[in-house]
Amino acid sequence: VNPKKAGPAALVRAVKCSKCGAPIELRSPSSLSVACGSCGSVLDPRTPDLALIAAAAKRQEKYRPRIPLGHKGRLKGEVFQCIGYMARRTKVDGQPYTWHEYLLFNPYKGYRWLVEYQGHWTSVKPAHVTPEASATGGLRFFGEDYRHFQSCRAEVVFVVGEFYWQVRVGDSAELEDYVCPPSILSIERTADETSCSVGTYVTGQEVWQAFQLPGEPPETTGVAPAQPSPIQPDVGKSWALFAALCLVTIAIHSFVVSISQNKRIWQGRFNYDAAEAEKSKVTEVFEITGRTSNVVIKTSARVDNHWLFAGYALINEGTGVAIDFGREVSYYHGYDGGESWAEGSTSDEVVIPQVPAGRYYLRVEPQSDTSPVLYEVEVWRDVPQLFPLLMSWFILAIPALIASLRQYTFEVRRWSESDHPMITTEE
Amino acid sequence: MSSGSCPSCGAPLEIKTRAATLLVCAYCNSTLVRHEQKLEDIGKMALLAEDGSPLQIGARGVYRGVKFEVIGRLQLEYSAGYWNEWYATFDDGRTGWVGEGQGQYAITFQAATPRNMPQFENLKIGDTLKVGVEHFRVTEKSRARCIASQGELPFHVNSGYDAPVADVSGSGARFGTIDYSEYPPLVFLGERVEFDALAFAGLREFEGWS
Repeated sequence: VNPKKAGPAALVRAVKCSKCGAPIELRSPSSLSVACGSCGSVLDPRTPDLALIAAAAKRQEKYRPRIPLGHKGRLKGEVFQCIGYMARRTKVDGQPYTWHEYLLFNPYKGYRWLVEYQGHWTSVKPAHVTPEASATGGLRFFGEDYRHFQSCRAEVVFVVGEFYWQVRVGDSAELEDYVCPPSILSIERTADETSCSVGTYVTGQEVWQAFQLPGEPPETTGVAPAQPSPIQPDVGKSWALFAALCLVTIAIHSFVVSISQNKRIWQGRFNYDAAEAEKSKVTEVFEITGRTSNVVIKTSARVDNHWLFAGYALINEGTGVAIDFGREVSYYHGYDGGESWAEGSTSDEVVIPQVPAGRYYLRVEPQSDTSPVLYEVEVWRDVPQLFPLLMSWFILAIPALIASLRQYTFEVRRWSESDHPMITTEE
Repeated sequence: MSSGSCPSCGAPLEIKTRAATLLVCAYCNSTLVRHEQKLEDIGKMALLAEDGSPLQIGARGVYRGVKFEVIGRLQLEYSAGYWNEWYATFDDGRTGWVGEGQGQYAITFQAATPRNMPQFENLKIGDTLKVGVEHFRVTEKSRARCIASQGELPFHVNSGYDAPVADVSGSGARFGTIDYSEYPPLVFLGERVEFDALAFAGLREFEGWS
């Protein structure tokens, strides 16, 4: 090295394939093998005559790098050059799954990978920190827990370009993937070494833009292991909105309670006697005041394995308008087969909404299967109701529940291709 | 810092650290051994291989807030490619090593060699080594070969010597190299660091990568 020599050093070395004579550009001095793009022979670039490492494998026309070798791209602010491409395959229950790996090079930052499977991309770099085992059986890396996704044996089925190790078609490695979307940790084991890399999900669109590729990226299929859920942010937001709206409804409810009369305006006792000729009773007139609001009629009867039915009419003395309704009080209990049981109740409550102020009286027409029955009637004005509050909560929860369900479905799809599907189907 | 001139070609030499015992003249590639005030020419250093390393003598960086400057280099070749140990002086007075290869970086400093270190032959991948209070696991064992050196170095090296080395990993980014070119071996401990974290300046420039 001459210290006086100025100007940038050349990294690219133009050579010819020692097998077929096709031109090969060597772009990284750290490459330990290069697969000729023309004949597929794998050569050793460290030897002056490019000694053969592995003879060309059977030609596989179906594998073509989508990112051309030599192309430079700016991915997340860093410039990298695509220098190698390989297709790897695993078999699950005899079914082959093939994915594509692009080796990217930068003379300062070293190597990165872009991995494509079913239109989903992952940008991968070596992990310089060793992940630790997590309490949940996965891995812990930079404060995040990664869950085991799958383990498989991957085999190289096609190779072209440069690699920083001696690659051969047929090379196999044990892979273990752990996910924490949008990140994925991969442990790769060969007989000689164990390496760990960390990947981040990227879209095909980002890759196409980074490398200025023509046309459209391939369509995606399914959900990728590290694909961030597009619904996840909505889930949090919709529950936060739900909580906020609940507070609003509670405030409204508290206000309603504070302005409610919640007052008993009449109370009386009657006796039902089957022997009586005129069984219906009429209360004295009572004053219903304030804004148009509800009236609550409470009926309680001393029934024991019997029923009492009360046919009511709430009659406005001034207009003669009557509101008719019937209520039943029944209480049954017993002891059967060693167990005691009870059904019904000795009291009943009914809410009559939207009753305007005025002078009213109540007519009661009782019926029963026993006699005599003592019963008590109470009339309450403007009683705050809990039901509208609960109903509003239920309705307000619907969007959040839907978001949670969609999120769940997304996770089911993600994990369906893993070693730990959330829903297992019998085959 | 002291200065002198190359006994072989007369070129001016600047010696940056007192720890330097070996110097390779940047002009004539003579290997010079320092004895007190004298420099002895012991012959030409072998040529470095073009390994595409982005570092060079004079490159500067920052490690954990402390600036350093690269003053020497050992170039090694493994079965897995080239690896450089760059000798560096740090602003806090320490000297250490910037390990670099294939875009991966590690900063290490020499540590006291624990007693009863296993022989290289008896060391197995996966073994645990205790250095001080820390535990490390042996992750790689290789018979590296020193191709050549450059600049100032704290020990006397010849080109083309065999260097059996083991790499060890601790928790997190903790990393170490055990140099078995002598016994007891030399232990260097530190951590793996990403390129961007070292804020390098004065690196080599490459065509098409400015």
